[in-house]
Amino acid sequence: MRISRQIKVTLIALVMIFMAGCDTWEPNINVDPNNPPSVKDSKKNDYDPSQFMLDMVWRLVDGWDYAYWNIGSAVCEYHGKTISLSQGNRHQAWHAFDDSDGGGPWENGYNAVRYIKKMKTAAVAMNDKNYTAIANIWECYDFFNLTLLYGDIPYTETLLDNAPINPKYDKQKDIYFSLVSKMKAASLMIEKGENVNSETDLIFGGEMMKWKKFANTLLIRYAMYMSDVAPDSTKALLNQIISDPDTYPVMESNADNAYFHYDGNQYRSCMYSLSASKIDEAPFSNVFVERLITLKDPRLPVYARPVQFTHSDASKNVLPSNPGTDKYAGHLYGITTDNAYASSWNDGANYASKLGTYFRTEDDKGTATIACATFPMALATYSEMLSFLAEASQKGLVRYTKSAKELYELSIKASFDMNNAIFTSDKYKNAFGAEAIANADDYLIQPQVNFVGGRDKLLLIAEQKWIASFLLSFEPYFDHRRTMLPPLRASSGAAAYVATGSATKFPSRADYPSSELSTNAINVANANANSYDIPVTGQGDRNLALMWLMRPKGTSFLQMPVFQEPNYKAEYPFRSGDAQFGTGFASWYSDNWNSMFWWKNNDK
Amino acid sequence: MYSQTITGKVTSVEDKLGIPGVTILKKGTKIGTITDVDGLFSIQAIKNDTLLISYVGMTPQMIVIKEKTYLEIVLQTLTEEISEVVVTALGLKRNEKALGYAVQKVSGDEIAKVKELDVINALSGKVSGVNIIQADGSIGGGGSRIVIRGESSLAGNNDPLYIINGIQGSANDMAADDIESISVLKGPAAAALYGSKAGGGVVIITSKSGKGVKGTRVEFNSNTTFQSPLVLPKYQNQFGQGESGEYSYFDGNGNGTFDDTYYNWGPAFDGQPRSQFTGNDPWVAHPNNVKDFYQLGHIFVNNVSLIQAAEKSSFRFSYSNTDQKGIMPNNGLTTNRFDLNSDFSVLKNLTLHAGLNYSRTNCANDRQVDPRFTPRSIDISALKDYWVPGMEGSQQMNYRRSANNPYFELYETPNSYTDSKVILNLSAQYDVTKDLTIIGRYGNVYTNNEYYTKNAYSTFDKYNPQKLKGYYKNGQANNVEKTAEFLATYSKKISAISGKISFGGTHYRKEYSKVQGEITGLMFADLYNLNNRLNPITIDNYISKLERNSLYGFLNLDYLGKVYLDITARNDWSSTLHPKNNSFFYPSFALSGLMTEIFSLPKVISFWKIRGSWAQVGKDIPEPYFVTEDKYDWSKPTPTGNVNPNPINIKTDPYLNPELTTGKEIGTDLRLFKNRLNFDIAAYQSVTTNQILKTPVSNTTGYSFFMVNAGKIESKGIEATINVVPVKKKDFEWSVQLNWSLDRTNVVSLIDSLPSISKTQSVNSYLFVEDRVGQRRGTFYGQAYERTPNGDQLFSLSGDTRLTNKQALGNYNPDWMASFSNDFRYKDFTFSFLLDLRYGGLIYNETERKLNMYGLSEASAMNNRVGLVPNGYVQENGAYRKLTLADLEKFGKIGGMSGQEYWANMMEETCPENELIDDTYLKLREARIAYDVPKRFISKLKMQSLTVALVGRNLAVFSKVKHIDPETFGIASGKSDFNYDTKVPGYANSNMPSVRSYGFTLNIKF
Repeated sequence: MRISRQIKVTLIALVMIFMAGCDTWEPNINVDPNNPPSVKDSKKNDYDPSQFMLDMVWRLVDGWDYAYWNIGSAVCEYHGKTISLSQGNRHQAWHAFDDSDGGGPWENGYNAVRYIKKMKTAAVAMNDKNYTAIANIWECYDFFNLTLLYGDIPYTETLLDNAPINPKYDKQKDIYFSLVSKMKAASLMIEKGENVNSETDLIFGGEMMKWKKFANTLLIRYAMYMSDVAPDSTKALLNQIISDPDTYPVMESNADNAYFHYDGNQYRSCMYSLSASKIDEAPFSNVFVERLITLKDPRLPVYARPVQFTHSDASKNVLPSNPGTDKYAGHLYGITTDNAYASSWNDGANYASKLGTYFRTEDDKGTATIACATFPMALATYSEMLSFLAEASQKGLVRYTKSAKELYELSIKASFDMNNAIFTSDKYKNAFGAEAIANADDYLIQPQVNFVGGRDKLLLIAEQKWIASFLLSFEPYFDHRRTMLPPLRASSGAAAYVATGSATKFPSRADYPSSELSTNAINVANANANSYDIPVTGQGDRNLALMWLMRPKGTSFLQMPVFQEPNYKAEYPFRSGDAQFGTGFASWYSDNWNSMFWWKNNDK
Repeated sequence: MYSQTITGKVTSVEDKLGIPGVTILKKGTKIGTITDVDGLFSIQAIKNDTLLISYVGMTPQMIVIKEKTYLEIVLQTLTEEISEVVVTALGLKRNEKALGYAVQKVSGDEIAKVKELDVINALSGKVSGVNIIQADGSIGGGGSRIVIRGESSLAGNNDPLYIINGIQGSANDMAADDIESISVLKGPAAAALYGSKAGGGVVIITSKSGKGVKGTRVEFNSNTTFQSPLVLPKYQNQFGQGESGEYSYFDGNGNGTFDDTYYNWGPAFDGQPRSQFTGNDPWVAHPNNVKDFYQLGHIFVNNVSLIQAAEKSSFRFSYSNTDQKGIMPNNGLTTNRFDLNSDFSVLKNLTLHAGLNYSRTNCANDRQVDPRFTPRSIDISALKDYWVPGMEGSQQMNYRRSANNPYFELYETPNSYTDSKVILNLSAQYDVTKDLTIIGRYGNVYTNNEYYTKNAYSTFDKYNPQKLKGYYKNGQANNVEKTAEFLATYSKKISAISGKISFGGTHYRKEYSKVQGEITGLMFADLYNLNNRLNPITIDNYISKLERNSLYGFLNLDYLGKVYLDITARNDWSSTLHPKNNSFFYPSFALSGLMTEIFSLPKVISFWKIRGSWAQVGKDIPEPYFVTEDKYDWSKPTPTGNVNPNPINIKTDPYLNPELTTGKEIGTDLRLFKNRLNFDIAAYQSVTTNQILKTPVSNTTGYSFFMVNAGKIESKGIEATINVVPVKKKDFEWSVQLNWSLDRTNVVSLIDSLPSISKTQSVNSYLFVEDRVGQRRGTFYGQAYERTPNGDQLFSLSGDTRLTNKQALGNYNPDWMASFSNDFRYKDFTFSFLLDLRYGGLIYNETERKLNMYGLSEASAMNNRVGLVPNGYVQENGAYRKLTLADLEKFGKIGGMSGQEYWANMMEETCPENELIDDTYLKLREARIAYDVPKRFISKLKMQSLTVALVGRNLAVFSKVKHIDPETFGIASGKSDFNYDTKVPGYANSNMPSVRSYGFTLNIKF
């Protein structure tokens, strides 16, 4: 008996001692001391919302800047690519924004939502109206970009506090109007004259008035983007903003422009990251360069660099056509299929103008120098806004204190200013020599530019906006898709790519990333079943499913005029060492060269 | 003569307790009896009758009846059976025959025979079902990849748990000479008592102690091995550095003709003077420039131990010194290790054990460079004076600028560290009564790690040009792990059943902290101090704490030595889980029956056991703070250096559970012809659910990944061990062991609500390991070549390769593995060797790809590098035909492709198929010839034994894989879900070849 009591006592004591030891760790043992606390867990004042601002903005800039440099600029015929845009045939990629999974606009656009939510939560907790407004403006800007690029997209469930693992799709129309009212409300929330932390605001340096102007200026843009499908809403929105500049201030000069100012260190411009070969791969197109040359445009030597080499025989090769000593030329736009074909044209990249040193400074090996890591990227500009207002005026959508002509001319001058395009610079004089224009006013009275010179006014506005909008995010693409002006051409070879691209039509939208098909298959299927415009998810004709914004225009609106692409190799410019090149070049050139420039044969 | 009643008691020599079930038989008759539960018996016998007393596992005895009518019979445990005592969970020594699950034991002698710096490597080929891929020939030798019974976890960590003398530790906490035995607990049932830590199996290492030794003994073990690369590439020696057949050195900066290229597509060697970095020297090959770069490495291990045992105490003290010189110049490491183990019987019923282990490792440099891609024209010895004359200390000299001189890198950019480790292990056993024993244990493992990286001025780093002005990193990390546990055991016999019930608990706490400073750009050259900086310092600070508590109990039942039943139960509480969700229960059952005891079987069957088990074990979340729902990263400050919290793109389920493995196993152990032919076969099936899955989700959630519990992995396999002793004579003995195992681990399901997702691990930019539902774990994915219906490779008309979309390319896991060891003893000589065979599975040979693409391999000199036409087909007008020279010429490739064009085309990195090769290999893992110097020669020297041996490891390998050791793994470019480096078998991108070791050992016992 004594023994068993001894046993019992010992065992019970041991268990008691041990049980006391279980689950006795300090309550915060699993709270991470190495990283900041979660916004939800933190005490109210732990998070200054400004701490989220840098990366919230950066999420949407990083990756997008490269996408519109690489894809947007090719689609809108600023670039004439010498090597493929991506794998696969050139023309297919050309007319598509295929979002490789990871790092593309889709992923970055939606990842930005995470930052926006954090900042908004922190701002609301502190009852900070300015940061709440900034978060909302950025949220609207983000979703406008996404829906403009993709059409119907997940929106309401994405914005929930706890987004489900597979958010459902919303219709573009609903998203669009929701964003318009949210943007308006955000703008109204901003008190005039206040500023916020300048260090973490790489767009406006903390100036809230500029955020307010940015929001209202964007509303003008987005009002115009819906002017075909909802003209009444466009009119109402435009007039509300224009008529009450006190409540709805908009940009008043280039000083109000929205730029992302890269710090050059952690936030580096994609111009810095681009390799020399990537630059070689994307010289300017002959269309863009020729237009700037014919207009004697002071932006030519800013946008572009002179060619490294020139040919000498105009009957065998394409020669630069600008009159000055610095020669500028573009690479033929729209060569289809094989990479080797494109890089063989006119002996390739060294005979075409590349991105100007204004955007990118390079060392002697073609590597970007750190100086260009801070080159700011435009998100919305005064010039762009004026151009929209000119168009609205011209179309009678809005009554404004300034005439369409005044707005058009101001817009051009604002573009010169913001690009530092000076008529008196050496570079300009070297480009145009004796034919150089003296000043902006002389520029404006040229027959090709003159608003009252007989050319179609909407074409004039669109053409100048096209020139001014180089590297203005995806706006040249969104805008061209809406107006199809100026009438850019597709190459005849593109017709072969009906099955895998947009063929000779302008692409109506970007492809959904293929990851959506595996990670959100149920909602893609549901949306398809409910006649959302998302069935095009493969490589097929992405113009078939037309987003709400495009519906009044129809798919035939996107058909581009076609120019005859030269045949490889015979109709290509002559190359030494290969007798097959150049035999048919002269006749192709005389028959077809001018057909890709709307102002030459089809001048209005 | 009258028959009389003889009574008596049979006891065991070990515990002096009565043995039930002992057979007592009158010789020459069938009359007999068995002992009762207390070991008592009575039998009728007459004087001079002979009683045969036998019991399985004990040495039988014969007793002739004389005058005594009460017999005290003490049975000795059979010597052969002693070796079958294995260390099982919680360090309990169990007789192997009683176990209902597979435990495989490797003795310390086996491990110390042919020494490895990584003890785990010594298990290669000795344990079935364990897949070990050894690390390359790096300093320290650590880091092998070990997977027991298939990769059950998708999260990337399938390492087993290491238990050193009862406390959680790491594989190399003990010197090989100090190890008594290693037990590998393979399946869930064997490991069940480790609960949520046992998911990957358990390796139990027990160190030697003074127990069982009489008096004082001194042992000295010395091991001297040399190391050299096992496989080096085969090179061509016809062409040198350059591209397109051209090369001329100007400044190595690209201003000459291809003088900054790493390609070897330059001119053919003609012996004529040509501008090179050494001057205007003859253009000749340096055939041994790679081989000569490596030096003969060595590992010296010397161990001396003093063992003393008295009646009430015993102790063992040992000192080991390890000195390694790497196969790379200026690589080396020294370890000093002290190990003390002592036992005292303080009171009659109280025994104390104290263990103290201290080790300090000093590694002066483990920087690796890879000379294997040096162009053939480079005289590597000319690089030894690595400074530009007159610019010593500020500008290195190299044959090209966009790379570092390998000697400069080894001498002027060293990585070094000092690791100190103290392991304290205290335990007490208190026998409360005859039947009740309580054991308490406390363990404390303290580790300090201090590390430095220095980069001299002019260090080239493509990604960090600031390193041209030098770089310095200095960090320190401390880790303390404390374990406290107790175990109470009560034994009882009730009639034919003897039982043991135990109850215990473990408390474990781990604290880790690290501080590191890093500067890029030194103000003064060659002065490595964090204050000596040109740019702001980067500080890294990490602190972590975690605790685990466990309670467990088990019941061992033994029915007359015929049937054994083990039941275990464990509950774990872990601080790394959510407080509302941190308690987990793990049960197990194991049953075994000794057929030879239950039935009367033919004599040829010496022993036959059938066993079966069922168990559940888990795998806890290894890191604290993991279940934080929203995580932020602040490693990237604002432009002015302020806090910049960055919400990461992973959303974690805060209620994550540990992974749960449910395992079933059956096995049999059959021994024939007096144990001369033994089979041990096990079949298992285990299902792991609650995988902690970092699943890609729709970006529209605002995240890229959700971390959830989902997925089901099933492993099935067979393991067999066969031991044969074909010859057993006084002077000659030959024994053979064969291990064979097969495992198939398949992905049964991932996430039910997202049926089409797969889990992808990037191996490099173009090669992936993907887990897809219904497929085998470890499947490579990537682009492959387009092919004709007949399987011939398709090319474009211009001769370019044509690639498919990403597709399954095969699996890295072997079809099966086997090892074959032979031991021969002739008088005092022993000879043994071990062969390892791995059959099937694929390897991605990145080394070969580069050798071909850079123009270094023999293949790259094919056809003198001219007029090459890819061997394949083209598709034209819907029909297939051979690609011809005429096709290429149409596209300007007059006369066919050059070697450079051809190999750039065939070896493009985008197509992993080109270098995925069958990784079957046969390896001569170990060989040893030993001589035990006979006592008569050494007794004058007061030695008890003296053994000298010649030893070798990794001596030869036979395989289709070219240029490298086929036994290799690579580190994936993408991190695992727990942010660990993932070792991918079958990915050969190591920059260090594996090594062959050979040398001699000396073992002396005084």
